[in-house]
Amino acid sequence: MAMLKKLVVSVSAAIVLCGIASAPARAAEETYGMVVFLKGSEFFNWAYAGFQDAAKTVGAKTELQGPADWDASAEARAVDQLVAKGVKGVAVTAGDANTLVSSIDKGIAKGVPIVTFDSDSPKSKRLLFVGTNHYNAGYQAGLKMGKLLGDKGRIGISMIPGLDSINGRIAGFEAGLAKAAPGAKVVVKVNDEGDLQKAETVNTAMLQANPEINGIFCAHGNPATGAAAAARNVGRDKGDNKVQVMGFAIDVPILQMVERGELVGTVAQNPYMMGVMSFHMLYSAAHKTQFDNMNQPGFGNVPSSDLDTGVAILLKGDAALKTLAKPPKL
Amino acid sequence: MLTTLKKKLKTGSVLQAVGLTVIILLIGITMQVMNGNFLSAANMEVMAMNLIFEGIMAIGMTFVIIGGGIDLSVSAVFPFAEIIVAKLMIEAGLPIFPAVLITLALCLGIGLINATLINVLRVHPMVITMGMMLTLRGINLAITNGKSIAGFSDDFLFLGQGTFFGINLPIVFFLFAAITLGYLLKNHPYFRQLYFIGGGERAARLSGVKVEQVKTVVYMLSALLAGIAGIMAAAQYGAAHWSHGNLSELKAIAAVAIGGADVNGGSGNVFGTVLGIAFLAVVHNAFVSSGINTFWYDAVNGLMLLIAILFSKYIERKNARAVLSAKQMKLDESGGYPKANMAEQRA
Repeated sequence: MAMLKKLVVSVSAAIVLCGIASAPARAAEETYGMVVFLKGSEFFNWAYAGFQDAAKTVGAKTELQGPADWDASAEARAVDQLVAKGVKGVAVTAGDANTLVSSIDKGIAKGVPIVTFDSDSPKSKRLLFVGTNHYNAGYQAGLKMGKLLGDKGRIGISMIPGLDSINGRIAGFEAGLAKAAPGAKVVVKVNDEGDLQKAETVNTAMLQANPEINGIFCAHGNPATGAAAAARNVGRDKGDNKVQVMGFAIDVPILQMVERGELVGTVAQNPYMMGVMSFHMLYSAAHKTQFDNMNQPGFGNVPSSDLDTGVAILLKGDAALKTLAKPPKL
Repeated sequence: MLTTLKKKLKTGSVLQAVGLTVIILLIGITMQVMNGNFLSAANMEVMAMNLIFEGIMAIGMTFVIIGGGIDLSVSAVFPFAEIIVAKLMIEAGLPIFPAVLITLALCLGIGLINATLINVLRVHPMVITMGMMLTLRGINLAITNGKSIAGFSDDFLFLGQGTFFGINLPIVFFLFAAITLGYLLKNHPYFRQLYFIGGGERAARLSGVKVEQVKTVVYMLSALLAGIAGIMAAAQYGAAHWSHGNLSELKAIAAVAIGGADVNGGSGNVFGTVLGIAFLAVVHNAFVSSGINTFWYDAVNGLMLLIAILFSKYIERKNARAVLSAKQMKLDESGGYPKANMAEQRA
């Protein structure tokens, strides 16, 4: 009994102290929530840094919620919780587009502005999507590879089939390549299954079977390191016959490989700007003006089309390589 | 009356339940004073729904853990049930009833395979159920190509989004399962055997308990409840996705342990598990409400789990000492038989 009493007293004291300590944090400021999956990942940390920085400009508070693993249902519950808490707006990246529909729609019905960023939930009633236009991103990469390799460009693409985002990037890449170098062409596409080792295996096989390939476009994050290793495996990582590999990620190892010249470049999305723009959209939607929201009456005005935060093709020597290599301040 | 209450409080499980209830109430009161919306209907609903599927799985896990086992496969059975029911209804066009029945039959089959492998191979349940979890995760990904399946009928969505007298159906099912199975565990001789098995499998077997049969029923029950939770989750989210319920097995196990069950088997009850899941839900809600970094949520849960295990070990040792001293007292009362016996032997 004595032990139980001590336990209860200790826990009560801790709870009360925590309450007192966090009491100033519940001032009358507006709070906006961001919900992510893979909470703690570098990409979403940059997005939240942008969200926070934008909120500071108007004196609003922010909080980051969501699971540290890939669980879209936990994200849905996090949205529900933030709505129940009474936040002024929620920006959510959908770990699965369909799973988030119900929670987003319920939140919107309760008058809480919700936008999606990075990964959309298009069937939901979210106000708009803030993120990369995948076709445009692929187009930029295609232009760069076309300029680099010219009409003699023979490209292999490392990808995962069946994903809309990747299909969009590839379509854009092919259009950009055709624009910059009409004689260049995509020779083959291989499925790396999103796995680094698998990427090395399939890209090595691709280079062995198609020795004319002089460029690889990695249409998503993981395979760039595998593709560079594949070029090494066939002895084409340097010299005149070097295979030029273009990545699609801002992970530190990829940035370092660009800096060392192992990758010709990487397509860098802008998660920081996704956070900044998501906040501004939510703030606008939460504060009505004389001109009401056209798509969703009752909310403040926001663009009626999605916002493309764009990409940059980072090459060796670009200052952004060093900036992105440092973790964001949260 | 007071003496009876004091006597009851001296038993470990009651003491732990009272302690946990007090802590839950304290957190609730503090959050209400701090934020003012803790007791709002919207927050209570969200809080109750937040861990409801883990709660349903935790009820099955209680039976498994009391019997000395563990079932890590529930977190993969959960999305498996979602995906199968979605495929049967949306892709194969089956009506709700047969689709749900086939799905639950498959889940029962998974529980049967788990139990059979555990009984036949005599390998630790953790290894077998982990193998099943990994296998099912692979199957879940392979049969969906990593994509979600959506487009359920409104009638099916009612299973997860509908209400009964204003209470969400998953909560109604959780309460029904907790009360029914809790009652059976406490009173039905068949399930009472679980405590015997968890306390010592060999002794139970030698005493005539059909250990393998009871364990099979329990693992099938665990898989069935995970399957039901999965079907209700698919109806709640309106989609089936391989990522749903990730790591839910750990939350279910934590709820059972925090609720006072011995993770080595032999003790525990459904009421304790309900309190355990309530604790996890209240703490999570408190973190979101107060805006504290939710990374600390896992730290608090882990710490609470450790405290609960330390506390149950303390109670276990205290009870063991009490049993020993009671035995000694009996021996002393009976005239010190062992001493006399030893004297006779020496003579």
